[in-house]
Amino acid sequence: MLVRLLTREQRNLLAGLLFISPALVGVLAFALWPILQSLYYSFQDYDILRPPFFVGLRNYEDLMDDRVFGIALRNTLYMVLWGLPIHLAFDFLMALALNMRLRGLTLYRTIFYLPSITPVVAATIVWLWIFNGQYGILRTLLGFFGVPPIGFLTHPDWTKPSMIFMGLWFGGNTILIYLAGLRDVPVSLLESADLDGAGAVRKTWHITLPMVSPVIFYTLIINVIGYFQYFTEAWVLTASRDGTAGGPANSLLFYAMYLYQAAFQQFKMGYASAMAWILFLIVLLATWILFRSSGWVYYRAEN
Amino acid sequence: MHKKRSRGMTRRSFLHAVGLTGVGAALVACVPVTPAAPGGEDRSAPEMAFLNYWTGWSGFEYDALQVQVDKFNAAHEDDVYANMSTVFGQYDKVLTAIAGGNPPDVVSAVWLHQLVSMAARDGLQPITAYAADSGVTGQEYFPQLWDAWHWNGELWGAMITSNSNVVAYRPDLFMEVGLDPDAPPVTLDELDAASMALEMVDDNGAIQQVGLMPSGLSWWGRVFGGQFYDEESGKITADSAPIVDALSWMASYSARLGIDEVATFQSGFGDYMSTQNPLFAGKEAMKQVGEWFIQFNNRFAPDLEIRMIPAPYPSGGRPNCTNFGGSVFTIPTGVMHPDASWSLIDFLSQEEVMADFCFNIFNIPPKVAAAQQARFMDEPRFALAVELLNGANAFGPDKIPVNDFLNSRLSEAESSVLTGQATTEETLQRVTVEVQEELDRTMARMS
Amino acid sequence: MLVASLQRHWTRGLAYLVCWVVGLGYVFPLYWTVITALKRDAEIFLFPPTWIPTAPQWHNFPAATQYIAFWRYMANTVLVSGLTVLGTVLSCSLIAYGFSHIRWRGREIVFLAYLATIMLPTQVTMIPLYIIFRRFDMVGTYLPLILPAFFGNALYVFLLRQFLLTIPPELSDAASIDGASLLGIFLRIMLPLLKPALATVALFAFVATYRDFLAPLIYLTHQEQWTISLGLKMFQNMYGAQWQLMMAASTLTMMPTIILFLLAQRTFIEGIALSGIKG
Repeated sequence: MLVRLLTREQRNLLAGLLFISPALVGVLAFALWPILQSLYYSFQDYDILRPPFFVGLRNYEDLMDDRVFGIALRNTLYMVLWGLPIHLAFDFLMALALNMRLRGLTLYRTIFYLPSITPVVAATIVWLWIFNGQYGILRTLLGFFGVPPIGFLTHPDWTKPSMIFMGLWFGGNTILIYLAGLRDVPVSLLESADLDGAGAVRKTWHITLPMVSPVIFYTLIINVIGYFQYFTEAWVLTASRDGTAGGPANSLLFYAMYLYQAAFQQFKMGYASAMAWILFLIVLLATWILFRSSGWVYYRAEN
Repeated sequence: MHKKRSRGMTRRSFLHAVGLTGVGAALVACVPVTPAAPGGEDRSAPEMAFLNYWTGWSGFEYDALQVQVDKFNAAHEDDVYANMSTVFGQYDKVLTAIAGGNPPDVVSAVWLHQLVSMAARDGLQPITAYAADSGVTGQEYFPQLWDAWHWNGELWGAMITSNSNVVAYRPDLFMEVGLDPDAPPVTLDELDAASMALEMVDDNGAIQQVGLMPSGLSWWGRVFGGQFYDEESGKITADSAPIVDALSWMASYSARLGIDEVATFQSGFGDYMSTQNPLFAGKEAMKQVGEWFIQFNNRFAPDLEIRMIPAPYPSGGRPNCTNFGGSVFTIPTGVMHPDASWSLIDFLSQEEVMADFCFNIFNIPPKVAAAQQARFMDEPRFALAVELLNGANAFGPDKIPVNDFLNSRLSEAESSVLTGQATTEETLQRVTVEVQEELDRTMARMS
Repeated sequence: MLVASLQRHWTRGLAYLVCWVVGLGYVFPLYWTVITALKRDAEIFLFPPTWIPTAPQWHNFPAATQYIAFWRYMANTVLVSGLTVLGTVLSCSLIAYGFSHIRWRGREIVFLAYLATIMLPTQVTMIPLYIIFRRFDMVGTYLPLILPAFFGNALYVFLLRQFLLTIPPELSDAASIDGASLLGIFLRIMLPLLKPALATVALFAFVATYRDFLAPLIYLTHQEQWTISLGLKMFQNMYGAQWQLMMAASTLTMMPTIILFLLAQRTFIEGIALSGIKG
């Protein structure tokens, strides 16, 4: 057979490509052309309704002068730098708690996933009520501790922390991934650590964390990608009927929202594409750095 | 042994997977490429025009419109079938379909402020000739509306609903503080005085009730006598004196009550479309609304008396000033049967059809005779809204192709100033420069 | 020993507390959805709110299923989600294997490039993608919603790859000495080990498709084809909504997923190593 003539390395390459061939076909059929097309648009003046024409780097230059673009970028970085670590840490702690052998565990594990399947409109109503400054449940709870009322969604200083707080509810997928990873930590390792008299914190730090590092790495990368494209929650909470969105003083205007407005409300698809490609490069760079510095991730398959 | 069993299991699950894939593929293949024709429409008949009509209405408004579209289909049994579907006001769907060469035959999910944006970019067909052929002269419409649908000498669409802005107030709260409910504020000074009388702050400095919390610079700017765009010179004038005055006046309210206190107070508002609307809940004694608010009154607070007045105006400002808008029925470029598309618009624009639909969804019919029907005029508040719409100070959106950009920058400016993040004059100057640049860029592309 | 056991009690107690407090918060959206579904119009936004409906309006549930073509939309949704799950699981497991246990030149860079396909905001690729599906004459069918799933999704491939990389290579090495082909190893050894992770991916894909609003809106042309996320929007109108009906329908919508989750959660979180290394 022909395959026999190949070196081991060539055979592996062939096998690898064969296994990933659905992805190759999928990318060629549904992703590559749209991606290249958007790169092409980013150098064009394209208003969707008429044919585009070439404008060189003007979209990129204009973006550098766009004040609101700066606001959107800063708001998004705020979410990436604050929201992402807080959410991942919270989700991990939740997973640790849910990984203990507690009574009623099946129920708890179902409960933490509920917000992730609640329809968006229903969730929005609930959240508007939670954040209500007079009768909202958050207001009531904080009131017990003597905290004065806060305009959670009406005061520009509070809107982003409120969004991060709200995001704690939607960690269902991440918690589930952590749980799956935690179940992989060999019980024998933890038991031998017990015999050595290691405390819970040390066990978590020295055994559990390294063992689940592959999934932590996954959630880190995926959430970096996701937070840079943060859109739905903020859009649903702030969009008004006249199409404006972004909350008080644009404090909730995020990158993807501004991009959407440019593309589909202001007929600037070329401009939006340039914006998308800048974001792409930022995220790619961040991902690449994370991959390069992923020495802390422990893969059993590699050792 | 364990291994063996697991191998057997695996092979079986592999076979299952293969089987499932087969079933899946069969199912995918069965998914109808063209869905079953609704309503007994016969698509094989060559003379039959099949229309896709996309609306932005949903819920009971959609149902009310479907009734009228059904009438159209019954009347055009032999030549046209219109299939209505809602796009929930999502422009991305509309624009994607047009860009993909698959436009709807009629679309009403276009807001009035986007009409020029769409027309100037060749997204729509002018309907001037169709209207003329059908004997539509514009005489039957409110003149401001008829004018608003024109741009560049052509007619680009028609509305079958409209609205106008009023100020609602609560007579009972007026009386509580000794204001005469029969003499509501007419001038801005009277409004300020009434508001201050109605404002209540508790011992902790927390606001309990306000008179009016002004919002919406696009309305107050015009009430103050300003305009955002000067058609003669082609200049954005968002930093002209009346608009600066209007925003300063709006900001004076939050400054007086305290910016943080207002933010906290407003965060305690209940859902706008409920019994907890701040006007019904007694948090606001006056509120900027439209004629559609009458239905809220009937539904959520049937026993509460709400009256309506035109926006109070300053000296040098505009009395009886209102903004109007609405969904415009348009025909995108490149549709298959433009005359059939027009026939649907024409049908829905009939006085009786329009009046029925508007009555069901509590909007103002754009045709004068339809709006003058007793079922509308019997409600004095509705009559007021109609009168304002028919007045000299009724304004549609500026006829520029960058209204969405203008709106978003204005709304940012307003909320920045009202929350103390920026100063009035500087902000409006910046908005003016930014929108002017955007407009110039867009116009340069047009020519 | 005593210290350790005390410590364990402490952590367990803390875990219970966390589960209870946070659990209450987590259950709140569903609770609120359900009780709103049972309220009367005037009661929905009442302040302070009623925690238990004064007179439960059970008829809101049948009313909600009649206001929209509820069962039809649900059937459409299950069809689309089911096929999407099938395609996702089949394609992603193969692709992930190719990106993990087979060593080939350029694997890492190709993987990063593959991952990069989800880094570009979809808003700017929407129109070209629509044009592709229109060329294939698929607009107005379910194919644009389903077909891509059969060709992998970087999000899930990445997850499966991470799990595959935790499987010690000795397992497949031993098998290859037996003379098993790569496909054989994949099917007989990797796939069973990957079952929990695949179940997780299946759940994610199911829920994501279930909740997707934009793609069905863009690609479906007739209302009778709609999925439930579009149907739920139909309770809203320009200035308001049939809140109680919408909440009733939302509750019904969530039920299949909740039941599925309750029944199958053991599968999602059963570790790979647990089933794998011991066997």
